[in-house]
Amino acid sequence: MKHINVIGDRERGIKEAIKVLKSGGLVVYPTETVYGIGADASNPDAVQKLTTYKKLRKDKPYSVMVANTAMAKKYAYLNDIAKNLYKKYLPGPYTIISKGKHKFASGVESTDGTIGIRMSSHDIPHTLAKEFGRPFTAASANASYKKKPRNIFDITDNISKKQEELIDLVLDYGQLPDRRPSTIIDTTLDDVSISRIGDEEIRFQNRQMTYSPEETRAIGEAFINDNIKYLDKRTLIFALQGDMGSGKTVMTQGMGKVLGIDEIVSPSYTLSLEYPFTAQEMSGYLFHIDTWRMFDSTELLELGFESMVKPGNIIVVEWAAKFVDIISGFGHRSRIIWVKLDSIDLETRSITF
Amino acid sequence: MLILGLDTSADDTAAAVSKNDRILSNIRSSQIDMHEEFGGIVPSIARRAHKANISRVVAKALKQANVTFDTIDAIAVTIGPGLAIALEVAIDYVKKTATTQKIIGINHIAGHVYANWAKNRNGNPKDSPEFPLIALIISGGHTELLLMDDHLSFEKIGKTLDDAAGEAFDKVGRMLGFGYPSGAIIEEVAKSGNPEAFEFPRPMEKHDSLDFSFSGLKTAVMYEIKNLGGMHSLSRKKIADIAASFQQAVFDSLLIKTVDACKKYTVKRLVLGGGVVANITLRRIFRKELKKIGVDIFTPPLPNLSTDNAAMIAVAGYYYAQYGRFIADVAMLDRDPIYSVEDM
Repeated sequence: MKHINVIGDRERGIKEAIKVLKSGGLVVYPTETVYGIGADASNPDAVQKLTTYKKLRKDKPYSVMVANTAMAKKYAYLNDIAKNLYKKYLPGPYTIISKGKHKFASGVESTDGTIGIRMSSHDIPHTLAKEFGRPFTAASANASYKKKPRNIFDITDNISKKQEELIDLVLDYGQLPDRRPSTIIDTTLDDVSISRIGDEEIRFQNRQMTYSPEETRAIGEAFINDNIKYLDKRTLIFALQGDMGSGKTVMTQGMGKVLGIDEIVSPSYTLSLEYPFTAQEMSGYLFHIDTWRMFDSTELLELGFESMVKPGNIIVVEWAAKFVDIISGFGHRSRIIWVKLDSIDLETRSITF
Repeated sequence: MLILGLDTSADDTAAAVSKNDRILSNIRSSQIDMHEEFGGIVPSIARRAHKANISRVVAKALKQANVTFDTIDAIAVTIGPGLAIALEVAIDYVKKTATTQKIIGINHIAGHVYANWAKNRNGNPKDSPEFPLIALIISGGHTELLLMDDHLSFEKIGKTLDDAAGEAFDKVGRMLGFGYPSGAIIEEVAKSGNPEAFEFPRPMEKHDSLDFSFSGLKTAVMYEIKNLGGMHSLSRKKIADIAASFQQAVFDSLLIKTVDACKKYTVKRLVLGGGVVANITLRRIFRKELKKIGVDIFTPPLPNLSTDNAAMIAVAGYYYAQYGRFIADVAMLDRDPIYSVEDM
């Protein structure tokens, strides 16, 4: 293990590190958060060596360090959210997750094809990435589950002799300030293509304006009152589409009111909430599903959607436009009411159904 | 008494081992699986895959605690509230593996409260909160004010009527062009912003009840961003100001009702729990303002006890056990996705 103090000997440190990276070796380097360990992310042998050092399972992904946005774009698809973050907050202590272009050695991207990208504001990794010309790994330099390293002893005190021998070069920058590890941000939630509910697919026949949350709630009540008669033979599915803050949960609260359920809250975090009800001699479950955090249609099915579709049950799906096909597929066993909510101003909503 | 704690109520598969109230290990799948290097969690049902994780996470928790499954005296498992299909994973695991262990079904919210009673291996900190007290639980899925006169006695005196506080952070983060989750980046960005730059509403401020509402605040932020020309035309400075003003509005709303609650019930102790408590600005504001009315604040004393975890479930299990709250027959163990902490 070669050791270079890069505070005093920056040029030589960078030069040696490039050599090590090119030859498939491992370099420990400072960042604005903790010490990282770099291997050429495009070189399978180098990545394998890192995995041996970290003693990790094979399918565990690594973040990578890039020099600039152009380099990131070569290896990952940056969507609007990602571009916004790169523009405004990088370089900085963030790891931004995007869909990868599968150009790295196997094991760098996650098993579902995403890649975490770092663009450090620290001079050493930034210069290294620029001069090396392609990304290297940005794993933290500790062995797995050990202390996050803020100085070299945090690393060497916690690894075996064998592990130490795997490290080719240490770029020592002394004690790093006590900062949190980088914040991970996933941007792939926004990759889900939102198919619009087109007027060709679904015939909307009614349009109503509401001027307060109470009025939106009242429409929810009317939806249940008008359709509850179908429940003995079918499932009622309310497929809601509308932007954040357009009143989807408020409308669902109105439905709950008719059914004697008075504690309906947003299911965004839990994904799905279920409430047993008995009303107008019918009993069943109201399932309130929020697909905002779901990536693709299989997740709706994994949630048990099919088993919810039973006569007597009511299902409310928020952000339904993501799953038009799946929901429509249950048309023969259920009565589906498609609802669009549009915000006109702070209080006014246009509701089409 | 050695307790194995399990929680699969939402995104993380979590397992922990405690000796009474002392935590010996505290493992979450997100630490192991995803981009662990720089900490953090990226949820989705597909990636969540509790089923695939649970044996591995339990094995890791046992190993780190240096105990074997056979020496475990009791298993404390979250039965609700949470996502039904996720809760089932830990419950099924207990049904399959439990032999001589006593079984305890834990309410997830009670777990967040009992994070404040957790101790490290050496029994520190020595002091625990005394009763009566008010507990404020704030996370991605929950926002609740609870009154406790004694152990395991919860009266829900306030709750959110729509969005949870942590959820409001994620949604406003999305509007500002951040990814998910955005609690941490909002806190970071807000540091350079002016919390008084925008006058966002403090929802429910004028209502007598102790309930919260964040849906209207979310909408107000959305309209402010629209008025400024949309997400992409916001400067870094404007984003920082919006983040700081929004954060302040959330914390003020939480604070107003919490102070009201302490006064109404003449309680001198407050415990905080849930992922939002990881926000240092929140802790600072609460410390400062509650000191003014002579209320002592407790926060989970060790790292990784605020966000969802199983150590808090194990510690809660210890207190359930003190009161003999065991489930007589493991076959009776069942999930309750809308389990209220009052019903225990």
